[in-house]
Formats: sequence, structure tokens, C-alpha cells
Amino acid sequence: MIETPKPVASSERFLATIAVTDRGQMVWEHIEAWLARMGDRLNPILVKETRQAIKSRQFTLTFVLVLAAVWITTFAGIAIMGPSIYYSASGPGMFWAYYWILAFPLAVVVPYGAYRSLAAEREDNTYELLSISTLTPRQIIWGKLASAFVQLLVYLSAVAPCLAFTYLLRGMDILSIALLLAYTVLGSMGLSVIGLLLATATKERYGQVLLSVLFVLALFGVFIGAVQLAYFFIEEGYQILGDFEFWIVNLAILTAYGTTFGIVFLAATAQITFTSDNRSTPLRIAMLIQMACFIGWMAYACFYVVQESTRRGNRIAPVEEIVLTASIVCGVYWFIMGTMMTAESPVLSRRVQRGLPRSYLGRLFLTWFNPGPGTGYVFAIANLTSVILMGFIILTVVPSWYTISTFNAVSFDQIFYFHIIGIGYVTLYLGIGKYLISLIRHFAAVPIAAAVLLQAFLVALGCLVPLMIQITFYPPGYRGYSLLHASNLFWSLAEIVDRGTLPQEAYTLVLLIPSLALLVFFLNFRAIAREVRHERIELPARIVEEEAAMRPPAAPQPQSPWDNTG
Amino acid sequence: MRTRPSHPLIELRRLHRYFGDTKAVRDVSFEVDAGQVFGFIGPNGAGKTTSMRILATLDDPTAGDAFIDGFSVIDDPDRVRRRLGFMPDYFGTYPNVNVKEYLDFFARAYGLRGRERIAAVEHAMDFTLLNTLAEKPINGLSKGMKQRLCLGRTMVHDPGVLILDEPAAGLDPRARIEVRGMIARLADAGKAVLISSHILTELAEICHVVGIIEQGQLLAVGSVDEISQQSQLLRLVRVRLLGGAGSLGNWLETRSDVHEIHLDGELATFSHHGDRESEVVLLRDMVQAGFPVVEFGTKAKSLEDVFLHVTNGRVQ
Ligand SMILES: Nc1ncnc2c1ncn2[C@@H]1O[C@H](COP(=O)(O)OP(=O)(O)O)[C@@H](O)[C@H]1O
Ligand SMILES: [Mg+2]
Repeated sequence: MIETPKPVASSERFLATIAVTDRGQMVWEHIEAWLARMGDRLNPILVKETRQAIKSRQFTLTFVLVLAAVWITTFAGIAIMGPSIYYSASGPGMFWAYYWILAFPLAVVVPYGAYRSLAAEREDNTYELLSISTLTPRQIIWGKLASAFVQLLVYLSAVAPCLAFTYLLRGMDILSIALLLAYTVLGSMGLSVIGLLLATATKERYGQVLLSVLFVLALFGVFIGAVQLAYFFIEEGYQILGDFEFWIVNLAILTAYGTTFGIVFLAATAQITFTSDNRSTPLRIAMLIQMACFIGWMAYACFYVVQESTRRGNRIAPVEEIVLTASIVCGVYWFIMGTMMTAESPVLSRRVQRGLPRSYLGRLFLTWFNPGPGTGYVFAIANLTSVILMGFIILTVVPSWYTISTFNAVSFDQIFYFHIIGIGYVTLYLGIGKYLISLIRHFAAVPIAAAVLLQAFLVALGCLVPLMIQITFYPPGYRGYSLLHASNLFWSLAEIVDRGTLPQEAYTLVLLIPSLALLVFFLNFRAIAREVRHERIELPARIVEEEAAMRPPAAPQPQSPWDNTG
Repeated sequence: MRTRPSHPLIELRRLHRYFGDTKAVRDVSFEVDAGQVFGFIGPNGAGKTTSMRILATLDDPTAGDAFIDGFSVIDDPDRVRRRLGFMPDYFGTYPNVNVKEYLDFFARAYGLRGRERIAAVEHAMDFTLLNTLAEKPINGLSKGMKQRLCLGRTMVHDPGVLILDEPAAGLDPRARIEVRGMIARLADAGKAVLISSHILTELAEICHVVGIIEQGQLLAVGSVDEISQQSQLLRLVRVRLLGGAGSLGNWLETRSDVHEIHLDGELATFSHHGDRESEVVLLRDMVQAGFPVVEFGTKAKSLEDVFLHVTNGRVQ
């Protein structure tokens, strides 16, 4: 039956519709304008890549696959559990199954996607177009990371409802779920930034192919590891969630994560920054911050063991072992970082020279943050030395405050000799490496990777040559340590703290290694001095002119309320 | 309005770039002012792309420096990039992006926001006649359209300096005329434009100044007319005299149209400035002065060789 509406009512309704659509239109336009404004604030790369992803078949396909996997798992799970779903705690099993589905895109697809997205820009020549735009290297890396994060969110949103569903199945607490998810997301972003660093590492085709194969293998390793860790956590985790120590350790892990993330991010940025810019100072500051955090946590650990011992009425605390561990970690850290810093170019660009510190104090303390192999060498050694000094301060102060005895596993002499000889080794090897690199530089460019290989080769040489000599010339079966192995830093250092007392060789080593180190340091001294002598140069006139034009002289401000009354 | 700056918009100062033993650019210097189109002409492998990449802050010179609007490309690439549009000899493409999104992305990358950005993208599409193709995926564009899109991308942020590497290469005559028109209009708008080509005639009409480059060296700079006259007028002369050329040296030195005299046994070589008829006069004078000339040959200087190559578009 067709109803014929009255004309008047109809026109009224018509007008009303217009009013509504008008208002709708206005609201819609407001929303659109707001979105456009928000879009303007977003990173250009994020905007572009999100647009691309929406149209990309590959992205849609992966998303549909994840959804399908989730659905199949859900139905299969319910079918297998059958009626037991109503009374047994089936949450953990289901959670683990879903976690597999989530961990794969987050541990493999997203980081590899980030790596490919930057590597592809370089292969397709779009990278050059980007790099000469006014986007900063930092914006480029952030844009790529943000795009990876958006992808991650999409995968997460496909699986998250199911993870919430496992909570309803009992056996999973919300805290465990949240913690696991948070770590997985952080891990995924961490792997992505590493992928971006790798993409900047080499421009050569073979290098890229090799890198991408290795990276994918590593990502699969991480994926398997993550799934196993999750299993362990689901099974056992609820027991430790209530521990105070568990959260402290989490905080420490987060500190390590955050600082490492920062360093990798800055390294990736430095790789794509133009050559005359300062690519080293931000990284050196980041290293210093990371080291400070590490020291902070180690100091906390010392206080913690002392307090625990006191609380238990135990007068013995292994503070010296914590200090020893910390300085081994720092030694390795500054050795590796030092290797990379000594591979920097000795030429200080005019751009960097414009920003050199001018005051005496500034020159004394800040010079070591300037780019250059010499300053890097000193920076590494100075940092290691101050860390070790702090270790000694803790070792003397803490036990006396708490009247507790330390040095039970290792004696003070052993610790002392270990550190003196340890600093000696780092100074010695870094110095030889730096000197060799400066020689090679006369004939060929030395990339950072080559410098690292060279340093590893030197250390390996120091270990293997004495071993060869021993095998060839000593009676068969003789495996003991002797001064022949003085160049083997691992064995020598281990020998010093291995047994309850100092070995005989320590007295020679403590003289030999530091004097050799000093010798090598003075071998490098002229090169270091040349870097340090640089003074600040003036800004070019053209820059001064432009800066002045951009900041026109401020209109005369009223100096007092009476000035403006005229 | 902007006052005319005291420095040229593009300036190369004794630019060198070596790749190992290959000396791609050797001691090249020139300047380009606002509103000027400079044609960088030379055969393939002459060093045009290398010089342009240095100007575009994509590469560092081995020695020398270059300046865009007074800023060094080595020390201040960030300031250079703000006022520079570079169109390389390749097309950088993204999958799943259409013409408008492509331009929009680069407008954002150059820091344009809001209305300004929308207007810039519209203007770039208008200028390069791409409005009708706004929604077309860039991978499906023809060579001519891609070239226009590249130009649009290069000018979307309204830079004062444009560096275009072989913008007319591989285009059909119609598309070439279009691109030439666009470049001329950009120069009229006060931009300094540097364009390269290995074919002189391709650009002759729109270039105010051309520079001829070969094997990394700038051989001549001037207007197209100046250069073609210069290259026709300067020729290498080789004379063989019976019983030694020694006495000819003094006679030649008195003449103003003769330079770079080399004497070697019976041979005298020198460069002569003048047209072919003046060569006849030279020979007659020589014979009348009593010199025993048994051989007289002239040859184009290398500048003309290059000029011929570039005018014919022959590839070396
Ligand atoms: N990255 C490079 N490595 C080695 N040689 C190069 C490189 N780029 C250019 N060349 C060499 O420099 C010379 C000049 O090249 P190019 O500037 O591309 O010439 P044009 O653009 O004038 O054709 C050529 O001999 C070329 O082989
Ligand atoms: Mg070229």
C-alpha cells in the first residue's frame, strides 16, 4: 500500500532534513578540518606510509591472515576444550596460542618491514629525494618508526580482543597479560629501530642481501625466544609478580631498554646525517647517560645486598663481586664504543668548529665530546677510569657505613690489580688500533665496521700467537699460564681473580701492561693534541645576515607602564 | 619585494671531484644569477651529473666549494636544501601513491602546512598540467608525465634555485617543448635555473648562458652565439718549412691573430683567430715574406670538437 503524504508535512520534513544534513555537514567539516590540522602535525613519512598501507594488498593480506588465524584458534580451542571450558582454568593455554599469532607479526613482520621500508627507499632512489628535503634525519627515522608502530597497533587490535577473552576463561590475571603485551610491544619497537640502523649500515647490494638474511634469521630466533619466555612467564610468572625485587628488576630492564633504544636511534640518525654535521656528540652524550644509569643500578645493587645481609643478621656481603662484574661490563662497553669512536674521521668540519667550546673550563671538559678519533680514545679511557674509581669508592664506603665485611671471594689486592691491568689493556689495544687506523687512512677510507674487525683481529692475535708458540715450543701437555700470555687480556685478567690469591705473574703484569699502555698513549699523543688544539671559528657572514633577517630587531618594548601612555 | 642580493644564487668555486683515478670534475667555476637559465652542456661522462649532485648536497667535493644563495653546500646543506629544488636524472617512485599524494608528501617533507601546502600542491599541478591526472597512480604514468611530475615535485616548495639534470632527455618533441616552456616561465619568475644536456640544440633557445664541459673541465662559458662564434674562429694551424721553422717564430710573434706558438724542427704549430678567408691571407703573407712553406694545415680546436658533438647530440 502506498501512502501519499500530505504536501505540507512533506515539505516540512524536507526542510527539517536539510537542516539536519546542514548541521551534519558542518560537524563533518569541523571534523575534517580538525583531522587536517592533526595530520599537519604528524610526521610526513607516517602520513604517506599509512596512505600507502591502506592501499597495499600485502598489508591487507597479512592482516586478514592474522584475523583468520585468530578465529581458527578460537574455534579449535573451544572445540578441544569442550565442556571443560566451564570449570577448568583454560586461560593460559589459549593465551599462549594467541600469543604465537601475535608474536609473529610483532617480532618478525613489523621489524623486518621497518628495515625493508628504509632499505627500499635507498634502492629505489627515493631516499636521496627525501634526504635533500628539509626533513631532518631524526624526522626520517621517527617517521619510519611511527609507521612501524601503526602497523603494530593494527595487528594488536586484531588479537587484543581474544587476549581479553582468555582473561574470562580464568587462569590468566590481567597484570600478566598487560606485562607480556607491554614487553612484546617494546621488543617489537626495539627490533624495528635496530632494523632501521641496519638499513643505513651499507649501501652495497651484497651487503644488504647478507644483512637482510641475517636479520630475518635473528628475528625468527627472537620470535621463538619470545614465545618460550611467554610460556615460562604464563606458567611461573604469577609467583613472582608480587615480589618487590621483580619490579625493581623490571625497572632496571626498562632503563637498559630505553638507553639502548636511544643509542641505536641516534646511531641510525648519525648514519644518514650529512658528513659535515656533528654526528658524534649526541651519541657520546647518550653513552654517558647509559653508563650513568648502569652505575646507578649497580650502586643500588650494592646497597641492596648489604641491606639484605644486615636484615638477615649476616655480616658478609659480596659487594666486591658486584663491583667486579660491573667493571667487566664497563670495560667491554668502553672497549667496543672506543673502537667505534677511534674509527671516526680526524678532520673536524668547519661546521663543527663553529660550535666548539670557548671558555677554558668548556675546553677542558667538553672537548672530549667533539667528533674525532683522538677525543674518542680519551673519552673511552676517561669514562672507564672514572667508573672504576667510583667502584672503589663504593667498595670502601659502603662496607664501613654498614660495618659489614666484604672481600671474601676476592681479595682487595686482586681487585686492585685487576682494575689497573684492565684499564691498561683497554688503553693499549684501543691505542694500537687507533694508530693502525690512522696509518691505513693514508691509503684508504676506514669504515666503522672495518675498524671493529681490525680491533677484533688485534685482540685475537694477542690471544692466539702466544698459544701457537706454547703449542709449538713447550713440552706437550703443558697448559699453564705464563707471562708468554701477557698479550692475552682475557686469560691474564681471569688469572688474577680466579684463585684466592694473586698469581706470581701479576707483579710483572701490573708494571708491564700500564707502561706499554702509556707508551702507546704517547704514540698517539700528537694526533690527540692536534684534535684538541682546534678553536672555534666565526660564523660565515651569510649566516649572520640570514639570522639577523629572520629575527628582526624587536620593536621597542615599553620599559615601564608610563612609557606607553603617549 | 626582495632586494637583489649581493651574491649570485648559484656559485661554483674551483670545484673538484675525483672518484679514485677518475677525475669527474676538475676545477669548475661559474655563477648563475636570479632569473637566469644556465645550460650545462657536455657529452655523456663529462661530469655534469657529478657537479649537480654536489650542488644538490648529495655528494661532497674533493676540493673547492659551491654556494647556493651564499651558503656553502658542504657546511650548510640544511640551509641550502630549503632554497633548492633538484630534479635528478631518475624518477624516484613509491608504490600505491597517486600524483596528488606524491606531491603532497614532498610538500609536507619541505615543511609546508595547512592551506599553504594545499595551495602549493595545486599550483604545482597547475603549472605542470597534471590536474587531470591527480588521482592517477604514479607508476602508470608515461615518460612525459613522469618528467612533469618530477618538475612539479622539484618546485613544490617554491625554491629560488632549480637544478635540473637532463630534464628534456628521452622526451618526444611535443613534450620537450612543454618542458622548455615551463623552465622559461620559472626563470621569468626570478629563479636561477641550472639545466644540463648532452645536446646543445635541445636547450639553446631558453638558455641565457651555456657552459661547455668535457672530461670534467669547463671549456667555455658564454651565450650560445658567443660560443659558436668563438669555436668557429679559433683554429689550430700546422706549418712545415723546408730547412727548419726557427725563423718563422719571430715573424709570427708580430701578428696579433696568432697565439700559442710552438716550434719543433721543421714544424711550427700555433692557434689562429679568424675565419677561413683570413687563413688564406695568412698563408699568402707567409709565402710573400719568403718562407719556404711545404705544408699548411688547419684543424678545429678541441672546443669545436666538443661543440660539434653537443650540437649533434652524438654520444662519445
Ligand atoms: N659514484 C661514482 N663512482 C665512480 N665514478 C663515478 C661515479 N659517478 C660518476 N663517476 C664517473 O665520473 C664521470 C662523470 O660522470 P657524470 O657526472 O655522471 O657525467 P655526465 O652526467 O656528464 O654524463 C664519469 O666518468 C663517471 O664514470
Ligand atoms: Mg648525467
